[in-house]
Amino acid sequence: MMVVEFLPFALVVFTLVGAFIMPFFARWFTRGCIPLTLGVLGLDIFMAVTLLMGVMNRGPVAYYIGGWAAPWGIEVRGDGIAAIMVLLISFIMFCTMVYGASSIEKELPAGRGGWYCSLLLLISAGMMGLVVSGDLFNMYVMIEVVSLSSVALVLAKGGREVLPAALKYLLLATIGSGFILFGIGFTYILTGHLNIGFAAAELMASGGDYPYLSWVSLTFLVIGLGVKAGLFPLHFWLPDAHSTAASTSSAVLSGLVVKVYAVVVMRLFFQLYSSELLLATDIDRILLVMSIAAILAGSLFALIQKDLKRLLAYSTVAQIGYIFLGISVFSILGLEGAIFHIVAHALMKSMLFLAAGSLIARAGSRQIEDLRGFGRVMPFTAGIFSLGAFSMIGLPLLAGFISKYLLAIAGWDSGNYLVLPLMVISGLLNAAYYLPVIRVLFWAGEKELPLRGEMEFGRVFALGALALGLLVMGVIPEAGRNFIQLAASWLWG
Amino acid sequence: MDDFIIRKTFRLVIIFLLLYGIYIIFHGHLSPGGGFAGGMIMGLGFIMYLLVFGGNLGRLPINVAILLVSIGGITEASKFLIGKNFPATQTPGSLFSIGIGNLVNLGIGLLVAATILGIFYLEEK
Repeated sequence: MMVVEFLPFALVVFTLVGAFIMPFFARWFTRGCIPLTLGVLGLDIFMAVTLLMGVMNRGPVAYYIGGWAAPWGIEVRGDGIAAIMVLLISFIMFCTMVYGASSIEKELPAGRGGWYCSLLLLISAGMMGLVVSGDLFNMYVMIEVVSLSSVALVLAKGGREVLPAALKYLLLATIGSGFILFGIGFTYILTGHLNIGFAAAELMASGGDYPYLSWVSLTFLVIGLGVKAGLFPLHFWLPDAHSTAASTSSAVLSGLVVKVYAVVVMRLFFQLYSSELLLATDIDRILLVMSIAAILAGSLFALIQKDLKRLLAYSTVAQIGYIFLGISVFSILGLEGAIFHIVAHALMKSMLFLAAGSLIARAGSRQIEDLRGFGRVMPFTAGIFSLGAFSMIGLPLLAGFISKYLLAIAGWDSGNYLVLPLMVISGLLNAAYYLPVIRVLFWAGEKELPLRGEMEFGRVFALGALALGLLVMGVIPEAGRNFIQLAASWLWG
Repeated sequence: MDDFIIRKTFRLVIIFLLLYGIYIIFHGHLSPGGGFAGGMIMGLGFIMYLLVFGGNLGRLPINVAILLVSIGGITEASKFLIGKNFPATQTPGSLFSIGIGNLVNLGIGLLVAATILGIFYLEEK
């Protein structure tokens, strides 16, 4: 069947065309913007499910844009990780947009709703293009699309508070892009190819003759992508940007954008560079140390936050550490844990940010202390928040438990015995900063509370859909895990 | 910018400016340049025209920019859906020799021109 091969690419172009015609609607038919965005993203989900089923039946597919064959043309890969990520991106974007249908008009300055929809479609197209791309330069272009639109997502809220955060984000994202471009340039000098498959074959054949050049390209790529993904010592733009943005922006940025760069790192490590080259550079040890530092430092920083969204943002710093930990143990099981954690964390973090957005909108303040007792006012939203927090801590029956379990086993199997106690310690640290928030939400004390009442139906529905996804991933993990296992083994090669 | 000399000169220059932009767009496969560079020149031509003659056009430039972005985006995306050999390629070196590529260059040119126009006028709406 030709259709499955064409799908990963059709998804990107379809979403991109949606983003291009959205300004027309924003200018003349403002009421049509949100239904149109929902329609585009809904069709994306449909196409992504079809792609996932097709890939599961037939194995990885490749499509060459415009019919030009591989070394010259652009290759679009529909392998396991691409299918998983595309489905995840369209699902989370759809839920965020359902939530946003009632929140965008309230959180953003008047008249920006339609343009914001265009931006959301643009960033989904960029992320989808990034995960399906099999060509280094195409990857760079998509990285630029994602970075610039994520800066614009931060900036969309307007006001004094977001300006410094967005400026910091813009500067560091640009520096990261520069590093990535240098890395790709060195790879091109070394191999003469931009297609990942051809460059990998060339590196395998002659990469050992030029060790320093390949190390330099690897260093540039890892630092550039580390800045973008917010890996620990390079994370300092992340809390500002993710905590000041509007709640839908935060959900997208924290749930998806930092993850797609981790997917790019996986592609580069396991499909471009050979494992001998990587192990010769000790990059696995370096990444292991960085990710352990990220897990501990992110959790410790989160522990002292008074601001709910900053707490969630620092928690993201810690969770990025888990994903890179899974990459750095260099085994199929570790990769599986990393992919599982990408999916689980995308679900729970976007859920947490959206629930926090509802609570904050009702309370009118981001300080945790001002939210005291709001669990009584909005029981469903606060319950969803608690569910996400429990999953983050790693309680069984929730998706966060499965990914931590997989990562701990993977660390033990590969001889990194410290990973297992680290998982326990980080789970305790997560409990130490999430449980006080839940306590503050549900134990009102003597405070006078507003009348009980949930937010609009759209917000509640989006939170419910995300929570359902989280429960399905946690209670019957085998359904998702079989395919994630397959995807990890394909990526391993 | 109400200046006699500028108005007289620019009336002559603008035709060549836009023509040069279109030339660069359509010769993208033969010489340096292409959709991006040509679109940039066209966009700058629009901006200069509006600076010299357009006193109070209101929101017209931004509306034009929005329409051009939609049209250019759809044109540009169309290349992905149509194969490389449609319409059949001609003798190498002639003007319309790369099939769908010419249309795509035009789409990119429109996108860039509209973006330049939009960026310039966004603050004036």
